[in-house]
Amino acid sequence: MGSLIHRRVSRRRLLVEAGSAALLATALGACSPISTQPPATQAPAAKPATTEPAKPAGTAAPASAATAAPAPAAGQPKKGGTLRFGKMGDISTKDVHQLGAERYAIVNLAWDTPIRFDPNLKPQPWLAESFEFNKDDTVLTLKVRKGVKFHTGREMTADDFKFNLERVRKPETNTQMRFGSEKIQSMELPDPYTIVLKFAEPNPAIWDTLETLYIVDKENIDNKEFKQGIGTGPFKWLEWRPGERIVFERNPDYWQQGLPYLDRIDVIFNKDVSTLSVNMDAGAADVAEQSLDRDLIRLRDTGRFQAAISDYWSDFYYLGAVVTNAPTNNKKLRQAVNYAIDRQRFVNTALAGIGEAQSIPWPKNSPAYDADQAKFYKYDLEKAKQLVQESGLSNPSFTIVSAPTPSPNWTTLAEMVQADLQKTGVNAKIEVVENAVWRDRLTQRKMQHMWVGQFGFSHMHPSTLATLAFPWRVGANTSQYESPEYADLVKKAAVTADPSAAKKVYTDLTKLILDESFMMTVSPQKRTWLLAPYVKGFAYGVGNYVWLERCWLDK
Amino acid sequence: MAATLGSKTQTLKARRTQSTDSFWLAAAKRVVRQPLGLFGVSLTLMVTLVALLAPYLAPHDPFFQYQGQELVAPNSVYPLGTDEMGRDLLSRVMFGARISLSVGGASVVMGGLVGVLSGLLSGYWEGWVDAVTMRLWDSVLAFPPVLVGIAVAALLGPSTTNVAIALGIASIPQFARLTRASVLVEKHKEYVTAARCLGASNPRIVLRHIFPNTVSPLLVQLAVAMAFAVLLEAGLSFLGIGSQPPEASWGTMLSTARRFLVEAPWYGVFPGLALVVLLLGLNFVADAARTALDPHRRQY
Amino acid sequence: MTAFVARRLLQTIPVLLLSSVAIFLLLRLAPGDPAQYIAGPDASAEGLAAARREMGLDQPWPIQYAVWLTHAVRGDFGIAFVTRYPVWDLVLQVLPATIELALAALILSTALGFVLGVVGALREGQFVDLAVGVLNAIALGVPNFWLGLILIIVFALVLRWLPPSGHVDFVRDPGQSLRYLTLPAITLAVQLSAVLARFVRASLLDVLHEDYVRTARAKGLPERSVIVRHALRNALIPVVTVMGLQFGRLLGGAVIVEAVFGWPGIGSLVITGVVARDYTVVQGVLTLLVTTFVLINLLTDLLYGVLDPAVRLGQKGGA
Repeated sequence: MGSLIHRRVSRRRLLVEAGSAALLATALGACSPISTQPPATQAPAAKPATTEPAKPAGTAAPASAATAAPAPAAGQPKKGGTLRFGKMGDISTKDVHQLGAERYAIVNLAWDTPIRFDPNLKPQPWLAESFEFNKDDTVLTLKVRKGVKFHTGREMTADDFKFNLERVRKPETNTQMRFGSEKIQSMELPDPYTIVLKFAEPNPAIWDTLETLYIVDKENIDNKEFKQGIGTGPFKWLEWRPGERIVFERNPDYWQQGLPYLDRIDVIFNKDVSTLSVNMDAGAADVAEQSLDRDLIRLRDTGRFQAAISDYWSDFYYLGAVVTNAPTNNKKLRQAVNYAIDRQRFVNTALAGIGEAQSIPWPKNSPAYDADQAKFYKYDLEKAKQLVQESGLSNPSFTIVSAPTPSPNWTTLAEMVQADLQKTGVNAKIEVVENAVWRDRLTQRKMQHMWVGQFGFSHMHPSTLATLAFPWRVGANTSQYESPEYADLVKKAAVTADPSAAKKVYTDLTKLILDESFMMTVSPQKRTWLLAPYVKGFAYGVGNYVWLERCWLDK
Repeated sequence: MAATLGSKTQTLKARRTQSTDSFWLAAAKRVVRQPLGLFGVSLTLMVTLVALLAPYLAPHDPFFQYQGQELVAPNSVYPLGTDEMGRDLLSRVMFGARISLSVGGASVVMGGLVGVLSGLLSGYWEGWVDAVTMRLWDSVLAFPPVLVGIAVAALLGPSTTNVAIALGIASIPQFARLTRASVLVEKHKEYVTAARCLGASNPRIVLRHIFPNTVSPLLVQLAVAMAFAVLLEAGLSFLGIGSQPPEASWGTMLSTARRFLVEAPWYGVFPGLALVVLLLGLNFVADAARTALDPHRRQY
Repeated sequence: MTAFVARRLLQTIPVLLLSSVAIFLLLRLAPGDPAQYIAGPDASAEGLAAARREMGLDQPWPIQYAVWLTHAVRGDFGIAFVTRYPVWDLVLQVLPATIELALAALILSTALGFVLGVVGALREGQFVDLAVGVLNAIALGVPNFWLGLILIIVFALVLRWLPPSGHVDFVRDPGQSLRYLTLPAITLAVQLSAVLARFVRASLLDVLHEDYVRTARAKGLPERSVIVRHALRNALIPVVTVMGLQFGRLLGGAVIVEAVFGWPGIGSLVITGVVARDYTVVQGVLTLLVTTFVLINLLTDLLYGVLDPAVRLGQKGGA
């Protein structure tokens, strides 16, 4: 455990040194929390910065996968076969730099990143064979692995790192990674296999960028004929049928000899979340990502399937409230709503227990987590009634906006809250709009009263949430909530290094969030995968990206 | 579909000597006198009664969530079981009839009114009014109706009212075409010429003389359009466009039931059965009306 | 005849124009900004403007429409906003699956519809006829998406005979492909066969009461030959036109059944487009669908004109 604590401390130091919150924009899964797995189940971390083309990812992976399959597969991996990977919804673009939340399943199939994190968030060599910071952490020298080929056959060199770092920086690329790349003052290529990155100030957070920088082929990405995603990954992008599937086939020239094991991966897009598990049940799929939680539990309990449930909590279900419109501008009313949310019922019925009834947006292993605060809003209709009375409003009524996608749980949550609010004399009307409309109202801050949704970035540093997650942003959130205290505490959270001082800041920040109740956290949405029993070597990283180069089928 | 082609060979019986009242009565009698017609009328009436009396008939509050009673299989307390929120399904199915019927009714009234008016206008005056409106309805007809619904929902937002509007629009063309075809035949008949000679104004001729004689094919179309609207409302709700929670139409219930097909198959069965009962009723009524009004047409 | 054809052809032009304007306006008026969707919630102002420019959305609507129209009449429907594939590529990708399903449903329903229709007509008014009639009414009263759900419960979840949803290319694995095709095809075919059965029955009865059939019978021809050589052949023509129309409807109208079975057809392409506010995809595909339907409709009308001169001569302006 000692090393874990050390990591968290050095992580904070890193944030302090980086200074601004902007660097966190790059994180996207990089600063995952410490795994809650007992150390015993964690594979030993690979030595950092080794020149060996080791298997750093593999080290992290089995640890996570061990959650799914308590008895790790014995026996030699078998080669060949097609993995049918079911997921909800299509990807939105071929351009991996622009891929959004739907990318988890596919990014690490066709593309590689310069580094990968081990479960303790230590950078491990990947496309970068080795790396070294200078003494004051302002110059990073990366040695690029030799003999790595793009799917086109062209060898990857340091120039490709440079191209990709420059590309994500362009505003028209529209990627969150640009914040990290912008910190790089200059790039030099002393030889074809070395790249030197220089920073104005110490920038240890560059790892976050390098862990999510998918190296694309510069000869293919920006031209008009850009038909496929071309990278150096274990699988080649064969075909994309929008709305139906993407097909990946084995890359025979993969830089890790003998890998991958699978011949082909069909990533199949489901339009309805229920078909994910139905297809598994009927043997028409081998993996189902984020099937309905109750289906996951039901199928796991039949003993016919394995279930992998990630401990890297990144997303939370929540209810938001606009604080500038009546009646939700009344703080007492918002608090009443917060008391009227039966979180445990939501977790038990909608999430089949795969969740955590809590009113704070931090995962258990976050430094900001506080058990008392987590349970601050316990379901209490009496208290809610009392607060409604104190609010001075008679029969307040407002709308709750929900959307049918990405998760039916949104509307379920809205309906539960509506029914409970009715008992306290509050009349809530549910408005279900298309996801496109929901998104527009969220990002353009056009919500009227309340809405249901999910926010991400929780597995990162506490200050990141208020920087990156839309509904939490300081000065630009959908709730229109602004206060000097909030801005101040978020800023302090980003720069306070001392653990006990930081803890105090986090506690104050959480207290403010709970009191103001403009964002009502309900429960984490844990990332899950339902696996057929013969799927072996299934792995995922700290950002919940799927790693399939060592996956094989035991059948 | 069949109605479109049918209209081309439509042989109309002019009943201009009879008053409209006795015409309706006679038509109703002839519908009910057929066994299937009677059966259809009874089914439709039954669903209508359930919808009207839902607050008295329903054993539970359709919106009340019995905590801990989620997805309970049918039993004596919950005759059709409960849904994922612990609400009584029988009560919800009963209240769902209200949505089906009101959306169906509203859209047919809207489609019928606009369609008939437009048909009368373009049939009587022809010329450019005719050309423009009929091309407009041709355009509407060229869209798959489900896609019209999706488009309207995207524009106006999903709600029961908007679905009714979409279905109303989708049902205009058939009414317009049928009316127009009848008017084209009727307006050259002697009684029209006679009325004109007597100095009747155009609106009077159209409404008092021609319209009553175009009613009989419309009667069939009314039942057909109603069945079509009920079916489509369910289909659109099934796609997630339609009634807003906690209200639920049968289609919405079926859409939700998809998530629980294995655990709670009854959830996916009963709202569908209710839908089948209403659709069967309306279809039988339409068939019987067709036979009653035109015994020589060889359709069921 | 030529004049009739020309007139009907000319009439399709305003229909197509009106439809395309309607589609265009619906999309532009609907809330939801495609540029925001493409650029993501964190897009910078420059990024958003660039996306808008690239998609041509910085132009005023009339210009956007004119640009779209001038390309569309040449068969160029542009590049999809989201996937950056040419719309044609997307259509061609889903076309095989769409046609597979429509054809399978049509074949199944034709077989079933013919048998039921002929039986009904030959036993007019008897018990069998009545039974077939009731069966057809039930088939018409069962919503196909519900039927689909029931078939999934029974054949995929309980009996485990067939996959519940999805699609496999026929070229890649014909056997598997047929297994995936079975349930959605049956679902669509049930209602369609009822429509056809009614039509076959009605049209056969019409013919059976015609003079020439009576003459044939009076001449002492065997009943079988009367029905097959004289009656069925003539009854077939209106039936074929109905089938053509139904096929046209199936191409774009199987949206809900596609959704039930996760079938990657034209309908789901449109829905995906609407959800993502991908204007080019929705405009292109809907225009294609509408054009197809209008053309099939026209063809049917022309066939009718050929078959029945009264239609050609009697109705000014066409109905």
